[in-house]
Amino acid sequence: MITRSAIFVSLMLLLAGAVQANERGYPAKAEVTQVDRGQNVLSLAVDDDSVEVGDLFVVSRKSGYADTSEEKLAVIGIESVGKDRALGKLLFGPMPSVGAVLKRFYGIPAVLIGKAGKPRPVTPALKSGFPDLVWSNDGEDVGGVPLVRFQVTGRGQAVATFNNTWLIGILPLDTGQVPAESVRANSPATPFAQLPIDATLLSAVRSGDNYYFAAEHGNRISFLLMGPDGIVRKLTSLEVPRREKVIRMDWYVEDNSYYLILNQWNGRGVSSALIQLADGKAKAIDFIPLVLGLQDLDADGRRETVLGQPFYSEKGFGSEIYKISISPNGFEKANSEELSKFTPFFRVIGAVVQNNSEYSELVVVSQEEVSVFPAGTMGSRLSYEIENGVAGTSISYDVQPELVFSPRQTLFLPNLLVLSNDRGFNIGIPQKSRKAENMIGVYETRVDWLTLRPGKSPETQSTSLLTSAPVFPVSGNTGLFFMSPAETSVYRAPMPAVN
Amino acid sequence: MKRKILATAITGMATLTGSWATTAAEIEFHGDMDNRFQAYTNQRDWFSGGNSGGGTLKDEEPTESFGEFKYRFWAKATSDDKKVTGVFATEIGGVRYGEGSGGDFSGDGVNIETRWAYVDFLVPDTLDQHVSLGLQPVSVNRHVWAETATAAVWKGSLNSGFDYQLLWGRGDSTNESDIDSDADEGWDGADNFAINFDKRFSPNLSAGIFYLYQMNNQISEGLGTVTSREYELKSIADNSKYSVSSFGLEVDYGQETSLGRMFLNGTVIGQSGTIEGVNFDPLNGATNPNTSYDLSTFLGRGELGLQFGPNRLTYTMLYASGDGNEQDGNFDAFIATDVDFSDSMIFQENITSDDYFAETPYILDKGYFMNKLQLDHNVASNVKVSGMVVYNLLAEDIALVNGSSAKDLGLEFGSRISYFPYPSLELAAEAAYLVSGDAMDALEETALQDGQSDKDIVHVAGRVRYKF
Repeated sequence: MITRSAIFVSLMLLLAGAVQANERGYPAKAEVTQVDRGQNVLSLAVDDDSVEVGDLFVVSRKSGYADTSEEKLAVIGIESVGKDRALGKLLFGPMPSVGAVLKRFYGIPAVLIGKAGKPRPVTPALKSGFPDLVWSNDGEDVGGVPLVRFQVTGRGQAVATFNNTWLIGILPLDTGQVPAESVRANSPATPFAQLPIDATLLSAVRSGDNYYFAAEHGNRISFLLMGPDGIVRKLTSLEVPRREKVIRMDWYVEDNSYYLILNQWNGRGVSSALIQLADGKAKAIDFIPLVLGLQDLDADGRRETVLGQPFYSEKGFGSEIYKISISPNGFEKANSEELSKFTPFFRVIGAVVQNNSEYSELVVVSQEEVSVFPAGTMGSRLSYEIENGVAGTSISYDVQPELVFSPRQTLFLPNLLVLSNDRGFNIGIPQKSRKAENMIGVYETRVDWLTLRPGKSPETQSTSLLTSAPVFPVSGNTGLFFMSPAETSVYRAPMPAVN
Repeated sequence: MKRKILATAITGMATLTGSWATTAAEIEFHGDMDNRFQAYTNQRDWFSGGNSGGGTLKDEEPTESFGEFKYRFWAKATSDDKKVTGVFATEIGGVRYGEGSGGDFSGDGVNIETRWAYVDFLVPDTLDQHVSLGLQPVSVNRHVWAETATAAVWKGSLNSGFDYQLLWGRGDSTNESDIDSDADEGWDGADNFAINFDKRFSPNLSAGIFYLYQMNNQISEGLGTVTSREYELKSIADNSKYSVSSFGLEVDYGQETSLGRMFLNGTVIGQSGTIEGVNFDPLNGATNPNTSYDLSTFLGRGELGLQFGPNRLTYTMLYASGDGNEQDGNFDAFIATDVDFSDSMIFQENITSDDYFAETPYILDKGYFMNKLQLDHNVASNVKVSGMVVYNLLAEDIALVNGSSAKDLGLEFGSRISYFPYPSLELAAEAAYLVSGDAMDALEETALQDGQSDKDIVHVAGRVRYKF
């Protein structure tokens, strides 16, 4: 059994030079294969080539995202790395048992310490590089759990340590706008989840430590659950309602009631079906001839408002906007006069609207550009092109099917991610995958983030995800997931630094 | 056109309002490549492309099988500011395999037509008012006029939620010349003025009304002729004088029920006016000597159906008034301008859309009373099978050689399957069989007419169609 002291580890790291933050930012996983309680070391099976000496792995907890109770958290530091395996040292907490699943840099409290020795706000680069750390602003241990400390050393670098005894590495800092290249991963990401079926369309929602997936395959929709252990289990399935083409799925969760909204193309327009998931069964309980999309109108960070809008081949999107209520009885609709001022540009899918007492703003995303309408649709419009084309679902149709030859149009539904709070909102716009430069067999998927705050110019940043196959974004109400149909894998993309 | 990634474009953000910078256009290229195959029919001369009834049943039952392609391509140029669009479409065919002008050996033939050529632009200082000018797809009402035509169209929405369309189109100006004669002077082409209002009152209910006024004054070449088999305004526009008003109402209603989604659609259209400068040449050949006719017609259509699970059951009833007296001074038969109908695979258009008996919602000048029951079943989202039974009747009796008369055209059985192996490629096949009614005796060749129907009709066809 080989052991390494913290000093030896730190010497190796200093010789190796700076380490890119983004290489360690992904929630790589490891599984315990062997433990030596006497030496406090353990063997791990890893499937991520980016794992390095100094990395921290944390035992996945069963409840809560930021539960830092000493009884439940165990932290392992990687001492050596081999092919598909690593040797780790128990740094804090109880020794995990064989078979335990660990996640890298997950749920540990962290703080950025300035040169003066005082805590300072985390930089966007650090936050995007370590999205699963629990960032603290006061520098104190949380619940008895030691912190990961990033100490600014000057020359744009910081030294990362755990519990003041374990050296993680030396990382670059970026205090300004994050250039696109700085958050570009250097190796393909590992899958976040492996699906037991070949899905053609996928939707995801997070509920505590669990992730629910709805997967369309063939004539069926299957419901899957991934628990904290990372294993995906099938819950139930049902036939696609009316066997009409599904063009988008969205989850709606309220008071522990789970519903799936299906937008379907019926040949002349779009209608939606409501599927209720309850008691281990799924059932279609209602239909409505509207396109349904979710918005976060109250900027509480949750897209819990369901809006409906007509769409027919001859007319396209209608100007009527409805607020939709969902219950076990099905859909209830009511006219939404407040949103009517955003027509004719507003779309219940593909547009984001913020409309409160302070300001109004509408963002509309089409296949190749983003348009920002300050103050609704009045006044000037700001448009930005998307380099690689926005990722989403497209369906081409005949405008007038009764004609022998009909003009054709395309209905495009982008998969956007919206992170909002009372200071503004961030819109994540995934682009289509393309082959990564200078890398064979690797695809890059960029996500451009647009940050809008009242009274300020829009800001942008860009993140990217590397995968071994093209991916497209998963619709849903949580996280930023991508699906690779070729591999039945689900990837989780890095989130931007959100201030 | 240079593209910038979002992250760097923000540094050079620009407002588009008031910009006079020269802009390029974004070009889209679309196509509809329709390959169709007549696998079999036992009455080749029945499907001969008449307007309101062009075929004849033959005793020898001439069969026919052919392959054919009909392709349409169009380019759509949209300005950078998305406010102006130009469209140009060409069409090739239909060209039959082995046929000259592109279908024979070497395939060397002149066969490209212009089918669309129009510009569409957003009216300045508006958000949703558009004007289209040129040769474009026109739709006033699918029973009266829905085809390509040269027109100026203004479309928009009112604050009350009504969508409207104003249209002026000229369908014929054969007799317009630099030197006006006494007979042809002024504004006298085959002009059409239409106004449509539509509104979606709720997700379940929409309704619309239209008024179409059509006028024409081109009679300098002597009397024109209206025939039973070419009973459409477009057929007489080059040599007639007419003033025709069509007024219609459409309603679409749907409702979710415990059994599924119920839907009810209805259309009623009334026509009035005059048609002058023509003789009427009915099917029996006894030309009506009147040269001025009063037009008074009616059409009603209703669809009642239920969508339950992957199935859709639709009952359709169509009644178009017919002319009971071919020798009087009235046209009582509903008359369309230019349409394409496909309710019946035997009597109207089908997969082989250039080979049909009639394109109109009526048969000859005898109107139409159709009752159809159709069941569509979604085997999968990309596979649909359909079965239908159509009872075809004329609205008015047609005289038979034995002195009797009849309305019964026959009972038609049809089926169709459509499969999309890829979203843009359709493989389809259809088959129809008509058990002829006695009224079909009037459409048999003379030697076969005996007052009773003698020939049933079989039609089997397939298609491979790529749309992009």
